[in-house]
Amino acid sequence: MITRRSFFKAASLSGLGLSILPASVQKMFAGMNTMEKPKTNIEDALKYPRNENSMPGKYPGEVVHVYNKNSVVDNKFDENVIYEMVKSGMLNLTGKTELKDAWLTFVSPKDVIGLKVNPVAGATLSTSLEIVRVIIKQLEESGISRNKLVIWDRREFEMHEVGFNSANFPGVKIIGTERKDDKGSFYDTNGKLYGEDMIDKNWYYWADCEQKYDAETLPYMINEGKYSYYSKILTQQVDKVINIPILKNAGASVTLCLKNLGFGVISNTSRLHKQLWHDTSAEVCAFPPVRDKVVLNIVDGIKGCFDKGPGADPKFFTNYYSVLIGSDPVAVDRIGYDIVIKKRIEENLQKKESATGRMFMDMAEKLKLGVADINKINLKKIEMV
Amino acid sequence: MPQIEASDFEGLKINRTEHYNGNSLWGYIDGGADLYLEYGFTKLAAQEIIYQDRKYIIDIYRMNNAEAAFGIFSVSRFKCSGKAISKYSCLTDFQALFAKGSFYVSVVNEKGSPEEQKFTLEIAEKILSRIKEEDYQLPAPLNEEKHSGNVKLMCGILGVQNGFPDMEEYFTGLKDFRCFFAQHSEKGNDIITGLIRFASKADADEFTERENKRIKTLPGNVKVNIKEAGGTGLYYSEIISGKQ
Repeated sequence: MITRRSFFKAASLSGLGLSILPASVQKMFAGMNTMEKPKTNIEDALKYPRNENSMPGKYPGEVVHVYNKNSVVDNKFDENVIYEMVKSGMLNLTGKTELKDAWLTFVSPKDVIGLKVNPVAGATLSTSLEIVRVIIKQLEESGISRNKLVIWDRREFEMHEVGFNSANFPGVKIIGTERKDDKGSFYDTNGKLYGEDMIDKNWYYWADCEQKYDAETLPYMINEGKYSYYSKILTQQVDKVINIPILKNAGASVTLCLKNLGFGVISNTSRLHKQLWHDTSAEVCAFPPVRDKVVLNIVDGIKGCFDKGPGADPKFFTNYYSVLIGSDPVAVDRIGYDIVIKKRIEENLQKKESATGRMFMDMAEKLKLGVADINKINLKKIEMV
Repeated sequence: MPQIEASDFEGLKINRTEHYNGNSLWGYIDGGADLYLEYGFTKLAAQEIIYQDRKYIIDIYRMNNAEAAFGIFSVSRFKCSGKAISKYSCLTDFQALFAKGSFYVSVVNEKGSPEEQKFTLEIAEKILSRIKEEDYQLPAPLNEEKHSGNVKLMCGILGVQNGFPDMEEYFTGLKDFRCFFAQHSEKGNDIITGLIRFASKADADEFTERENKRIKTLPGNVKVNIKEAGGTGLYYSEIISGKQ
């Protein structure tokens, strides 16, 4: 399979489901040829008591947007500049004067810390190696050992392909839910998917829809049926998570913090794209493994895209020169959304912003995962250059 | 499936040629397959080649028919420049796109250099020469010259989200529809022309009724006309007079 070795992915978007319409809108189509919204087990998520780490974390509704035009020049990322951007963002978010204190607001040397990246579009439109290196460096400077760090995502081989490997990150564990062996096989000698050992059947997102997968697709989904299981990397291997998505559009919406988690930590996702895109992005994050472990979100907005995301189509790449930081993934997504939609309107890809694109954020707010109302978000914008 | 062979260019190396069909597209473009499936996807030949130390990605999609191939092409082109290599083609620094018969083809280079642009074009032309099918013919009135290069065909809500997101709210909740939209300027007016095919007369009537309610809320410089195009079809025109 070629899969993610491609440096450009065929560009298109995931299904922004129409099934999650507010009741008022659904009613508008009464009698028409509409699709019904499948039920989910979101009520189960709400039964678990929250704790001090639960989303939206220590700084609800707070977002720091750091902008520096020197962060990328001629498609080359300047790691020193990015270091200063992340540093500025961390200090401004926490109000601390020492960088170490800022980081230790969220994590401690005892924690195993997962760095959730997003390499799905290939090397040209991935969470950058530079920002991940910067984050690791600052964590180390704060007293966190690199052997306590885990870089992770769904597809391990995709991470390797874009450069998340032991050569570039010595001493850091790099692992994916979907895995192959050295021979390139998804299956062990007993015919069992390696990915099956990576999912935790104690934690699942159930939705009343399913899809049959052929033999080529199944290794990427791990299981069929109505259950999507959470990755053991999240449920068993890490204590805290720093979420590091990349600033990308998905149609007239975005794929940022919530989407990187919602579709990035569970199996059997294909069935969810068309009818439950918004629901999945919000609801998967409401279950304790995500809600109570993801303590910080750092959006890599140095370079991103404004159309044909989440795939990579180079004519839609753009330098946003930005890093967004916050503990509140919903508020961070809302700010990132405005940045991307502004660019799309400038490029005449759409005339106006539509509430449809914000639906998953509104849903997440209702689930108390953060603040989606732009008027209630405290945005600090820092223009370094 | 037409594709590039190692013998096509001296020194060319084919790193990989893979074929996908049906849902296996999910393995190749996770999060992106639905759009192709919505238009009607049959097969994909995906190649990665190296030529003069530069890497190129070639995706050759066979869609269910020429209309589907044109449709996916129409929502993928953007800021096209350079020469036209076929009736439906789009060249940018990084990419050559075209639709021919039931095939939709994308050739992408890595850095957009002049050398890469030139070879990207050569690859596209080589594949094009191997496709013997006829070009898709747009229906009236979208086949008029003034719409050339501007027509978008959407075969479902994902297509609308990709190709004409401002129209999304008018189609949300509907399925089994197809719509063509084109936008052009004429005498200082922005004009949107559409042709919509619904699954049923009831859907067409409902769409019209809902639109008529919306029209009452529009400013005075926007005029919307909807009329029957026979069966379950509608002609749609929206004229915005002067600058908004």
